[in-house]
Amino acid sequence: MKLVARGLLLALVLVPTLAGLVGVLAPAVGYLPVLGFTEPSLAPLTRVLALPGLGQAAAMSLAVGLVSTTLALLLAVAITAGLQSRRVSRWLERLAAPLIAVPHLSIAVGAAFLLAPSGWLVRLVADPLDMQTPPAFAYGAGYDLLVLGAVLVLKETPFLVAVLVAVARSIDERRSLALARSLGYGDIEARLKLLAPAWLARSKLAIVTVLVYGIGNLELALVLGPTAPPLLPVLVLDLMTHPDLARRLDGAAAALLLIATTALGYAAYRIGAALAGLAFGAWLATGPTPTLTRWLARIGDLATTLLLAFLALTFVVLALWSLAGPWRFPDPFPAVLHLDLWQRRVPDLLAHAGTTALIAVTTALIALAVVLLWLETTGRTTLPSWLWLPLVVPQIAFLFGLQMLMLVIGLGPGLGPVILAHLLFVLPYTALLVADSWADQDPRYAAMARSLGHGPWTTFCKIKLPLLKAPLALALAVGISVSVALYLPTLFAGGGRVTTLATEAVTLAQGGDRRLAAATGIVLALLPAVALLAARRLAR
Amino acid sequence: MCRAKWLAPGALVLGLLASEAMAFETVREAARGQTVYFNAWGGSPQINDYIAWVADEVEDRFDIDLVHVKLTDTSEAVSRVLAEKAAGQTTAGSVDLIWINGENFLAMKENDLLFGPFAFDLPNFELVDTAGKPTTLIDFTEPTDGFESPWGMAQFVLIHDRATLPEPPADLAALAAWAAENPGRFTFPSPPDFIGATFLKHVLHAAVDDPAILTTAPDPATADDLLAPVWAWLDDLQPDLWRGGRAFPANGPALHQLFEDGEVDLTMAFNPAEASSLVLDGRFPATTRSYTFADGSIGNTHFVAIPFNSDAAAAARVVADFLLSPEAQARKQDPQHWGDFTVLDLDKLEAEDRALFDAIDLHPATLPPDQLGETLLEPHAAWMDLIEAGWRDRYGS
Repeated sequence: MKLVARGLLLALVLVPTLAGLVGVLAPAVGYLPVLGFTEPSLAPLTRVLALPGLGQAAAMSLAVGLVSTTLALLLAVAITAGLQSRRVSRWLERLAAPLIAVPHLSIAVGAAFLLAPSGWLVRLVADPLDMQTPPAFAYGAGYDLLVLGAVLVLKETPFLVAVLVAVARSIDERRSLALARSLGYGDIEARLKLLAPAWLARSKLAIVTVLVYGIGNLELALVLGPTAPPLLPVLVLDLMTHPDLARRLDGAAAALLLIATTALGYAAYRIGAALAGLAFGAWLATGPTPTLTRWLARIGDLATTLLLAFLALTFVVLALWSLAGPWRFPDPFPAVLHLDLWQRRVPDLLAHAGTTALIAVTTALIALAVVLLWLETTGRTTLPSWLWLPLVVPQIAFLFGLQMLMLVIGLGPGLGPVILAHLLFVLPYTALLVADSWADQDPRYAAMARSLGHGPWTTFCKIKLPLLKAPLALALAVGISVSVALYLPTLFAGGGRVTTLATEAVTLAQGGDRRLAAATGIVLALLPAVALLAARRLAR
Repeated sequence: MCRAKWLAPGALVLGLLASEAMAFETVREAARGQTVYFNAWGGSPQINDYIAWVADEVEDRFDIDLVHVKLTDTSEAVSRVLAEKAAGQTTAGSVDLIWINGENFLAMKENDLLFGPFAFDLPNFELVDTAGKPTTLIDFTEPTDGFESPWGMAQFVLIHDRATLPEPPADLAALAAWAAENPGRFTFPSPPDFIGATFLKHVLHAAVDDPAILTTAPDPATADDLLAPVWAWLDDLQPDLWRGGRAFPANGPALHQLFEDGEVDLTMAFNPAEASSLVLDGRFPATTRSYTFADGSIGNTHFVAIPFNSDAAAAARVVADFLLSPEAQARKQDPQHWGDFTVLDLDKLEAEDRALFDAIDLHPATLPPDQLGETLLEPHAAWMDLIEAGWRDRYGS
């Protein structure tokens, strides 16, 4: 049983990821026998390096990932330090879970409608400013990157808050705080100075996950990113799906560059963190600085409020567009609101929502079963570190190779492969959430059950599972949320045959019917919310 | 005797026709119960609805289960078939029918990824206007050789709003002058998007003295000189483009969105009826009109093809044949459903079939076929590679 559990985890996570990487590495160095390329060569890499715009694409991806991760991290630390001290923060903590569950894509679709020069914000002020046409100024890629960065910060801050809060709770802060108070420190400053370094040290993995997503994600780059040149992941996709099939080699080489860029991003983050540590040391040495801390807290509050307002507006504009009749610039609101689109598109939306939910629930359940089996049979609670590999390598860099692997072992595209591909990303989160609570449970209950003559299976079902009802339900809900939002794994493993709300949203947001894109974005956000609510109900 | 002489070849032809019909009857028989995964660009709800209608019809008539696999880009499906070939999957491929033309077709044909030839054996193929519409046999510069079956005619048109721009620029020179006076009000999708690429092809056509030179691959010795006026014209236009030419919409629908939002005054389409569809959908104002440049416009045909490893090739052929039927073609030409012009020769149709086309109400935003002007042929794919690479080099980075 123990071997089965270990083998299962290996086969579901490590093997596909490594195979995917090999499947990309081989063409990148000139090996793709089906097209007649059997001689290893550096030509693909040389060609890609000579591509116009490549340097800029990589630099933009790097910048947007680094800046958004840094901002989200600073905000998350500020919020976590302020938690329990102020009312706003408690309110925020309650919001964090639903915020984590909202897919990036829903926010991205709304943000695009909100922030374009002809978007809602400009329309709202167009009349007072007597604007007949949208402002036509020559703004470059920087604007797109700003919007993309804002969406990333908005999405990643709550995730990091949740991680930091979980870490913070595992550290006993009372003694540190008491000591700091006696030295004249306020609670917030004390947490920032004495505890935050420990929080960060224990959250490295989550931070890297956020950084890698920021640099290497495809879906946001497609919906919000610049086009001339596009971000690096889009460039990889363009090459890998180019009509000239020999360009697959270049695509694989570009994927390698994306991995290198991500590694560079991580190095830059470490250097930045070291430099920040120096500045932090200087601040530590100055003693209590209540005024500075107050200002920092205020800036943090302001940024948080702005982000929440941005989020609320995003969903209002999604709702408005899904209900709008003709709505042309400079009208601040659509002249007519009607349910035409919803009525016409409900069957489609329900069908896509059904597929999405089927995949998400199945994936989350399988992930939970595998993780429980692993925990129960191996008796270990420390997870193998390779479990995070799929989260710290850019998706597009190994999914193409994975597609090859699926074909080689005769796995045609379809629902099954999609679920397997989703497991790569759902399993790590499920394992993380379940393993901690598993380790925390009091072993005496199980021991008592065993001493009363119950078998391991009965003990597992009657004692351990009920005791862990709440964290297990949460793990399921998070698993569902992760799966619902996955775009690229669905596209590659589904061979395009599997349409989920996420794939539909990306297709529509790139052009097409804005009203339908808005409606899809809303339904996409509803699924995780429902899962989370159900989990809370179940936990009670 | 005389009659008998005539009878023999007549009977032979009839017999051939009958045997052909019978041959296709066996295809229909084999097609029953098969599932066809139709890989087609899914960015337009209207076209998606049309394909859904086709699915209902072939289900009722031929017991075929047609599933629309919505692509963001046709090359996705091409790469999937390639990946399958790479993995040695020669049967049960994931793609059964693919909406295709141009360089995607060329890539599939050159890499032996196609089933066929099958198109010339489809019963409805004889209705195709191969003489009047030569692009039904030659896709860009590549002969179809029966490996793809024509589906619809495309012609490049520009779209403007009569209320805000009553007299749109009539040619490229006028366009540049107008853009200089109205900076930021014009743009095109960034190549390799096909709408953007087609706009650049028009610029290329206008820049060469003899378009015949474009039908073969460019000669590296003279290509730079030939392309010089193209870059000169684009350099001139660049600062007057939307967002100062520092960003471009990703594709045609994204450009439509900018037009709908009032960010630009012109949009473009590869379908003379697209503007009508958007007006009927409530997205473009009723005063929207289409037009072509005075020197003509790029035209081509789009097709359906069957990958080599499809297990449903029989059903895919039946669907391809149904797509060519007067009924399906007439519905497709109706702007209420799609507005895509037919590949058929209306003179070859029975009176009742022809009536289907005559009954179609051409919306005022649609340019009727006789006002489309001269059709400019697609240049050789290698020209496009040159232009795309050059464009990316100059403006896309």
